[in-house]
Amino acid sequence: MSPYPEATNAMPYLIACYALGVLSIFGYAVWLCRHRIQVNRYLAAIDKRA
Amino acid sequence: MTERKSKFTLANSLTVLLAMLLGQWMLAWLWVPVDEAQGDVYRVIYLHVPAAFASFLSAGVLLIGSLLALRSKDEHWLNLSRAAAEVGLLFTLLTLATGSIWGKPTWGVWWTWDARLTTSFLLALMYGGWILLFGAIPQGPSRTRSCSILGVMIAADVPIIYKSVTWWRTLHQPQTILRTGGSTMDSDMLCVLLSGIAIMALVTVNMILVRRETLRLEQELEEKSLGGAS
Repeated sequence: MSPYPEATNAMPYLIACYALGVLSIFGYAVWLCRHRIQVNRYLAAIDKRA
Repeated sequence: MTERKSKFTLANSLTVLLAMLLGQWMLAWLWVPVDEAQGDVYRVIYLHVPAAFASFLSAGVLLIGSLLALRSKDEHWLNLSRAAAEVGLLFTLLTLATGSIWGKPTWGVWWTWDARLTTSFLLALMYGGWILLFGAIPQGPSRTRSCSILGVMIAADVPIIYKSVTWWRTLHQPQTILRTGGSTMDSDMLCVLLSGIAIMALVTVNMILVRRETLRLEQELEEKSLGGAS
């Protein structure tokens, strides 16, 4: 018998962990790239105006 | 322009690394054998431990940025420190959250003031504190000095977190990877875990570099906007 009785129903815990991982890591990466593109776009607009 | 264009390869490589990370998670879910004692719930390790190493790595980069800023008194090094603090906070919070979720089925509690957990919580607080401090002090030598000193203090917490399981009696399991006498893990499990740590480390460095470059471009944008306004 497992010394961790609550660990037998692992799926909700696993899904919660990996969902958090996807949301935080991938969410941050998407924000990072979108923000970068936005800043580049503003800089290009200023360069063009100058 | 060429410089700006070339920096996009960082974002492209981040996409590749994130795809590799997803592949590693697939291996962790579908390929590695189940743990005899904990069952499937132990698979949280393939996210929890790499995230913890990523938070340590961010502290290392923060230390480098802080020391360089202190030595040169040049504020542009704070961009590196700020990027490392933001990424470090993300991974420390992820480590705490996944550890908490793992703790419930194995320890029976979501949280306990165990030495490893408390020192990790302190790391998250200090990363958050660094970001707040940076925003609270106006640009100048005072901000460079204060943020860099806090950066060094944050890095000093990492060896304490790492050794906390041997220095104090804790609920957290002792070191399993880097221990005298070799790892106690099964070779397949260890292989996937080490590859996860390596991929997460590359993701971390990449994120820090992309963020640092964006911060530099933001400053350039601000200078140009102000120049245009005057």
